[in-house]
Amino acid sequence: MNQIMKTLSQTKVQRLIALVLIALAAAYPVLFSGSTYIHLILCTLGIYIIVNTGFDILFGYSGQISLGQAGFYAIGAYFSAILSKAGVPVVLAMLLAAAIAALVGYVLAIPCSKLVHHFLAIVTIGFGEIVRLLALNGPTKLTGGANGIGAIPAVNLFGFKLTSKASYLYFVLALVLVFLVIKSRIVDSRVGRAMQAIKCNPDASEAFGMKLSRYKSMAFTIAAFYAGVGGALYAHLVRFISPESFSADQSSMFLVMILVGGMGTFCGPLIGSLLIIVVTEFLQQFGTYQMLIYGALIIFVLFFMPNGIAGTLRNKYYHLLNKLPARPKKNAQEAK
Amino acid sequence: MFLQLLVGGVAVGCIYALIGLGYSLIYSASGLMSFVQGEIFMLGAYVAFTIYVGLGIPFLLAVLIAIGIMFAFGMLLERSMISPLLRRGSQQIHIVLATIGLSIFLKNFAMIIWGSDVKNFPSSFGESPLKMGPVSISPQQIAIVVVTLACMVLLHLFMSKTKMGTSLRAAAQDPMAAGVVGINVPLTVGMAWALAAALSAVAGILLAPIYGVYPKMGAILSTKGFAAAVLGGYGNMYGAIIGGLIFGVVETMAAGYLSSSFKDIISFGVLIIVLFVMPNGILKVKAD
Repeated sequence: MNQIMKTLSQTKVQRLIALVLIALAAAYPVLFSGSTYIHLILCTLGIYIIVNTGFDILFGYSGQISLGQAGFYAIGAYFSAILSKAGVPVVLAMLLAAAIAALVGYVLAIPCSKLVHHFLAIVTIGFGEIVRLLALNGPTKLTGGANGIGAIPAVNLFGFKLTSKASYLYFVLALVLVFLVIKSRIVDSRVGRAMQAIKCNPDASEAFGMKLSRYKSMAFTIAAFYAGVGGALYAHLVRFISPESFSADQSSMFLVMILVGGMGTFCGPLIGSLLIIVVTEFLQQFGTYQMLIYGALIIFVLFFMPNGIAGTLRNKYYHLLNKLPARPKKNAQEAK
Repeated sequence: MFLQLLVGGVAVGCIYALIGLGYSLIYSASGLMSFVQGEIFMLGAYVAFTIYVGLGIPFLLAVLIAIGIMFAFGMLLERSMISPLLRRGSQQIHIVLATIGLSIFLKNFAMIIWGSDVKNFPSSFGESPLKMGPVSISPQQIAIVVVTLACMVLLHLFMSKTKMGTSLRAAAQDPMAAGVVGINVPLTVGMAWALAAALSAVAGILLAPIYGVYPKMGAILSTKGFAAAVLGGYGNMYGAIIGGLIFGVVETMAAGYLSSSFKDIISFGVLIIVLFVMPNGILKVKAD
């Protein structure tokens, strides 16, 4: 718990806000146990936060673009579904599926660590498509082809079956906290600093003795693991998966979430996931115009908030801090 | 069987080459990547369809008008979206995202205006295939190859013989030096985007009679056109042509000899392996 608090905040005020938020999130399913739909959306939000948090390590901190995160997401979902239907305990199946996704990520990173920008984009697009097409056209007995896999067993935790959405929400919330802590530990560690250094200046980092391919593939593996966990959670939440859920659109949605939220920040993936989910739900009422507005919104955000929301807020915050009259030293340090 | 597949592969490869050429032009002029080429491809086909079938204007004139509109669209895209974004200090990745946003917008725009059903684009070259021994070639396939060749020759002449083409190449090599000697660099960059859009529109109009016109027709093709450009050597005009032809033939062979459901898996697999083995593409362009 202490570790979680340390991750979420540096000052007492932030710590209080974080505590209130967690308490609200924890109390929510009990207070409003009736509205299953809201629970479903909140679970999806949690899953997206996990995927995007991992993706941020790859993209925001290590500077490698990926347009194939949905591929890892799909691997996590499919393997978890197949393994759990074969009789493996669900939580173990989820872990195994995420590990397989990480392994695939590591293998993909071997060619990818040599590539930058457009080349990386095209390889990851290709990877995402290959995974989707394998799910669609591969061994139909395993993946179910276009029909997908149905009747995926619910999560069974120490004898408690998490069949209701409310109970699943707790499970997702706990995992979100765990993975946020892991991320903040990674990016503050030697490895995380090495990734950021490589992003800023690969040549200088190499001159300092960092092995570029090692850190780049590490970022890929971590992001793949996160996406795998997210996919597994998704499979056991909806309990039905089909190749349609893992299209290239899903990959670009993950990218949009990170960029709108603000890449390379702690809050960015959280804000981005929340905002895009809210916007998507809000736009449902516009029917066919939904995606039209969504596309226009992306361009709008890029024009007016190129650093994403978290980045813009941070800049505004420092801007405001400079404008304020000088304060006694103790307060100034606290404000930072 | 082999020859028949080869003919089909070359025809498809020409389409990839045209789209790939667009990517290469944009990259060499501004060092950027556009995700909107597939939607320009689709819009070009829709605009030509509307003018030709809807308004009843003769085919050749309709096609020229459609290409002109898409040319202007490409210029407008660069002037009103890309360069303002760059002036605001956006990074490459923001441009990529902006073009993803625009492509989502255009796809749904087309769906609202024209509906999501497949429109039948009548072929104006007749339907009866040409028999050459065991191989039968459809007139549309011949048209694709001929028009693609004509486009390449025209583009080559434009790039090497005209003043505009020379300044375009100069601006691509060193924008600052080109600006100093009096070349209008923003215009040349806009020109590259406009040419890329026109090439994509040509590809769209060429392919429309075979597969029909629908809002998602450009989604996969644009990725493959990009793959073709990368395969040949990104930023190199001739590389895009070679890459497109190789990509088209490999894909069609895979579909013919193995299974059509595995064709995309194999073609993307080949792409990943090629990038791994020779990251600079076939014509050795440095990958950064």
